[in-house]
Amino acid sequence: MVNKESVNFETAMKRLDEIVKLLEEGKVSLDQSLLLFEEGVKLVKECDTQLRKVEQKAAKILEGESLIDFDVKE
Amino acid sequence: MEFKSVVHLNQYLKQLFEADDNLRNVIFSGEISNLKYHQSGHIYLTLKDEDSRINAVMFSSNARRLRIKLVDGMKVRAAGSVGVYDRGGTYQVYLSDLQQEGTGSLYLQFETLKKKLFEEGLFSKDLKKPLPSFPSRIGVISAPSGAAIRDIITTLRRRWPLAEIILLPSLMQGKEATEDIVQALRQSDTMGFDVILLSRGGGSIEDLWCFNEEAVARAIFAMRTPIISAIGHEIDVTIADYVSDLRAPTPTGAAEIATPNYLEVIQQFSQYRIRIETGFANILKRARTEHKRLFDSPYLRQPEMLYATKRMTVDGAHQRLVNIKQRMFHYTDMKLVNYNGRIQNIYSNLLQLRQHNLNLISSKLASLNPNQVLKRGYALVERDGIVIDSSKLIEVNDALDISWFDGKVRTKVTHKEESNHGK
Repeated sequence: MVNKESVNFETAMKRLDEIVKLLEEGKVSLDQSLLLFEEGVKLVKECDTQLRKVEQKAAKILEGESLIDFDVKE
Repeated sequence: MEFKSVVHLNQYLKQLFEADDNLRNVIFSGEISNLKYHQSGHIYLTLKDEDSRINAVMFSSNARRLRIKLVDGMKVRAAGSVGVYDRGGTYQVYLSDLQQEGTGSLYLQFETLKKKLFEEGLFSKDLKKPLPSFPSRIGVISAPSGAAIRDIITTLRRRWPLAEIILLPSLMQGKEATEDIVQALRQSDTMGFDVILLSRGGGSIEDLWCFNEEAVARAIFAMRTPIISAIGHEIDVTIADYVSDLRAPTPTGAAEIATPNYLEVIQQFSQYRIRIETGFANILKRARTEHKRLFDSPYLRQPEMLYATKRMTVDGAHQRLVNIKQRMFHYTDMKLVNYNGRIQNIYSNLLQLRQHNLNLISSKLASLNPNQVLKRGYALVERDGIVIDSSKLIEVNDALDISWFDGKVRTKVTHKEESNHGK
C-alpha cells in the first residue's frame, strides 16, 4: 500500500547539507571533492526530475473497499 | 383599544413593563447560548433552560466589570431588568450582573473530560508525533460534501501536487458521527498514510460535540500515523484538537501545515546546486593555483637547470680539451680521433642523465593520479560512498563497492580474517 518513491527528499536534503558543508569548508582533497561534487549534482538532478515530473493525480475517495476518483466542486 | 401604528403599540407595552416594579430587578438562573461579544463592548446572549429561553444584553458599562469569561453552555445566575425593545417589538433582559453557577452540562462535560485526559497524559507534548516534511500519501477524514474538504484538496494540490490524496468520508456531526469518526480513524491508520487530516468546518457547540467525545479522543491517541486536526473555527478548540499531534486553525491551515511549498522546494534544490558548484569551483581554483605554483618552479619550467652546472663543467672540460687539441694539433691524427671519441661519450652520458631525470619527475607526477594506481591492479573499496582503508572497518555482511580503473562492482562480505601484518 505504501507509495514507493524513487527519491526520498528528506534523505537527499540531509546528504546535500553534508556535501555542501564539506565543499564549502574546502578541507577535502581534490579527489574527494570531485566525488562529492558528482554525488551532489546527481542527487539534485534526481530530486529535481522527481519534482518536475508531477502529474496531477485525482484525489480519491474510499468507498467501501475501493478507491474512486473524487472531484472537488470548485 | 386602538393604536395609530406599530410604534404606538410597542411604546405602550414598554411603559407597561417599566411600570412593573417586579420587572425592574429580576434574578434568575439559565444557561448561556448564542453568546456574542460585540466589538462595541456589549454582550448579546440567550439565557435558556430546558423549556424556555429569553434574549439578554449586557451593555459595555456592565460588561467591563464582569470578572468571568462567558462561554456558551455556561450556567449562570443573572441579574437585571426586563424591558421592551420597541424598535424590534421584543422584550429582553438588560443584564447588570452575571455569576457562574455550577456549570452548564456540556461545558461541565467538556471540562471534566479535558481534565481527566490531561491527567492521563493524552495531551502530552512528548507524545506528539513529528510530521513528515514531504508526505507522499495524505489521508483526509471529513464530510465529502463540506467546504472543509474542498479547501483542503485545493490547498494540498497547490502546495504539494506530488502527494496522493485519499478522502475517508465520515459523518461530522450528530449522534452517529462519533462512531463513524472512530471507524475512519482506525481504518486510516492502516492505510500507510504519511499524515492524516481530521477536519470539518464551523458549527454550533452541539454540531462540534462529537469531537469532544472520549471515544474520538482515545481513537486519535491510539493512532500511529501523525494526525492534524482542524475542527470548526479558530475559536473552537475541541478535545480532539488537544489530543491530535497538531491543531490547525482552519481546514486550509491544516493542509498548509501538512505540506511543504512545491515552488520553495524546487528553489531549495537549485540553491543546493549553486552551492555545490561554487564550493567545488573554489576547491578547483585553489588546486589550480597550487598546481601552477609547482609548475612554475624553475626545475619544472627549465629542466635543463637540473644539469646546467654539470653542463658548464663539461663545457669547461670541452674548452680545455679544445685548447689541448689546438696545442696538440701537430700531434698525430690518430690521437685527435681518439680524443674526439671520448668527448662524444661524455656528451651522450650527459644526455642519458637528463633523460633519466625527466622520466623520474614524470613518473612521480603520474603516481599521484589515483587512476594510475588503479591501473596497476589496485582497487578502491568503499562502503556507502566512504573509502575503506582498513579491514578493521569492515564487518561481515557489509555491502562494499569495489572500483577498478574500468568499472565497479558491489559485493557482500562473507568472511573476515585478521591480518597480522596490518600494523
